[in-house]
Amino acid sequence: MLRVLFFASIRERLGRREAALAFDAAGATITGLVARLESELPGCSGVLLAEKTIVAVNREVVTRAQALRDGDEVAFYPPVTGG
Amino acid sequence: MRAEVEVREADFSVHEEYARLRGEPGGTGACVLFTGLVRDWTGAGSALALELEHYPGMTESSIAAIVDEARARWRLGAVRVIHRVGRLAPGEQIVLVGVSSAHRGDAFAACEFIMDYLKTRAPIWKKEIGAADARWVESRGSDAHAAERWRDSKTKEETT
Repeated sequence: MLRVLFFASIRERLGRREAALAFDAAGATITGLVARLESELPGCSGVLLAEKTIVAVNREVVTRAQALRDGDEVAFYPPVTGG
Repeated sequence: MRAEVEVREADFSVHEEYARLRGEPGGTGACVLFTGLVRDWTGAGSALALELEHYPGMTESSIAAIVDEARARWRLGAVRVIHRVGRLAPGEQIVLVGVSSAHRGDAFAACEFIMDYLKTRAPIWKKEIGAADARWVESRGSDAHAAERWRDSKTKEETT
């Protein structure tokens, strides 16, 4: 399984905090995952691959080319504004 | 041992944190503490609150990594970072960064470095709650620039 988390404005736009997807080795990159999310979740289109969206895998920021493994936790979030 | 980095709803006491940073008499010659507060962003008294959301686990690990980077650049004693989350009213404390060192130069620099990196790396988001509406705060280019300028700054070895 892949656990997918959404935060802040992205969480609100999608109306959900998280999603769980069966792991599929065929599309096991961020880009592949986004294609699956866009076909399964309404409202995703254009949000998850937006240039400013940040992607983290297992709590480390990654690029869109990052390969995924079964059990990974993937998070999509907007630019941060803490401090 | 108490964690250096804490993300929590509860407020903090600068007095208590300062006492811990000072530690026992001896090697500490300087303490720098920074606190960030909730401003009234409207300038008209109509700001109700900030709501701070974060990514539990990653917030702590990303700030801990920033503290590690600071320790690699400067000679530091104690370091303490507290970031509050949840709903905070104007005037409340949001964040504390405290650094102790033998000398002020390292403490000043490390405190600012940690704050600049925290603002651009830690997964925390602010939402402004006003009387009539609520909106997510946009990230600012000036924050990215502030973090960027540390990239080529002198390392601990070069400054001593």
